Amino acid sequence: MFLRKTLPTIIAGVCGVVVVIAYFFSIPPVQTLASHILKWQSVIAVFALGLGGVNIVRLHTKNLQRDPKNIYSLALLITFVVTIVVGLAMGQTSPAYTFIFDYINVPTGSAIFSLLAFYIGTAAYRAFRAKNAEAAILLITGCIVMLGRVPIGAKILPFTAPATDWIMSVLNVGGQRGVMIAGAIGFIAVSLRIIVGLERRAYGGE
Amino acid sequence: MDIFEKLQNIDKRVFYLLMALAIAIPTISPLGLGVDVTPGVQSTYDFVASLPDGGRAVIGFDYEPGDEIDLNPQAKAILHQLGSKKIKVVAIASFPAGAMFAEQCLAILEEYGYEYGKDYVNLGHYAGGEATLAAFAQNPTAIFAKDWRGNATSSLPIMQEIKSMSDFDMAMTLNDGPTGGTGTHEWVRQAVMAHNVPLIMGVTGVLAASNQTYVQSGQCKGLLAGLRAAAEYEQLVNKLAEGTVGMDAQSMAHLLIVIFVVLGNAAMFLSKKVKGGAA
Repeated sequence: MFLRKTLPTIIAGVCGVVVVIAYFFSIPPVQTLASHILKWQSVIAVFALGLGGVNIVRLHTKNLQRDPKNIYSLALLITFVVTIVVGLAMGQTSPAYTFIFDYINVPTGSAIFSLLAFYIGTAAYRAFRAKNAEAAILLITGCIVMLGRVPIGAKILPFTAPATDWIMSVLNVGGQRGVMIAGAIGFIAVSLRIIVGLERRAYGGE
Repeated sequence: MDIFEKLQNIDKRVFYLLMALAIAIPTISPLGLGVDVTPGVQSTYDFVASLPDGGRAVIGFDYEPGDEIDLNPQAKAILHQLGSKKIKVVAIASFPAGAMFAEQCLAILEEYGYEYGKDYVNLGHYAGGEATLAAFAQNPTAIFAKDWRGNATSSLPIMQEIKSMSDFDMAMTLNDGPTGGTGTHEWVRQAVMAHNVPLIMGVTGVLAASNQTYVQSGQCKGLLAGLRAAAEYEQLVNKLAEGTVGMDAQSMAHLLIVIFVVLGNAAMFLSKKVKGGAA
């Protein structure tokens, strides 16, 4: 109990208080301590990255043991191992590593992302129907912004460019500010609960 | 099924085919539609132009494959401007892929006679998001003992001039969102609020809405949003490249979607009218 709950709560509380004080006040000893805490955090984050890698290997190895025909898990494990071996043995600036990045990683990432153009397009066509006043407002605003953001829109309907600027800088910013301020207040509340030990879920509790 | 109902339910394969053509044709054979420079991009350009020649900039390559279509052209266009002003550049990345993109984009600086280690450096990837960015802001070489190419950072002339974030004249994040990396909000907190370093942002099109607030509050000196901003910046630096070419394809894709949406709605209203008249 002490090691699982109390100790992490104390560590989180002390680290949180020190870093927050160092951010707002110029007290040299506190800032030095906060600087060390931030460096430790970056080291821990690297371990977390390694842990993520181990977890991926475990998960997909189990998938393969359950179903040896699972080509997706097999492909993931092969590319994972090959990339790591090439990176470690030849270096991350080597032509082989750059080849993997330029001709496998980037094209596959772009290909998956580009599917959005097709799916969002058909989804917009089927879902954007002016069935009531609210839907009509959303539809008209969406079409104006879509045209206003591209050169051809301004050529066909010149009013769309200034209208888009107005929608983005007035209507959008007003709403976004509300969302951001509310989100920030919630974030502060959760952070305070973690620092004082009230938020047990952060340590895997209920 | 009458004609109006058919127009409301066009086979998605027809749409996919038209979308593929709308993107492929302008990419292969650019239409040369051109883009007008918007005030937001112009003010970003003017801000960078106002920096002292030979100053220092830190650029965060905070994006992954998939978003490089928007962000690589932005990075390249702004690096042309930084290069013409001999501004020294330090690149960092909160995603491993970001460091690879940085390596590709920073090569532009060699056109302007830059020397690696002296005028620019790619420090590579850091884990830990905002906390590590905060530690970097306090002491860059403590976080990056080696650069992306494996050199000791303490031996690089450019890093001997930089003791903290405050030594930079400008910070920039090329950002595809906070998931897994350092988001724009974190850059505002650590560069602008903590060290008073002017920040500009280059973001994907979908992030324009949420980051516009920082421009109006003055915490962000310039916002480049999506491929369009890259195309506009390419015009300003007089280096037309993939941003300008991509805008033709994006124009046609947007136009196709709007045509289909209008068609679907027009068919819906006419269908109702015909049915109402028949009843």
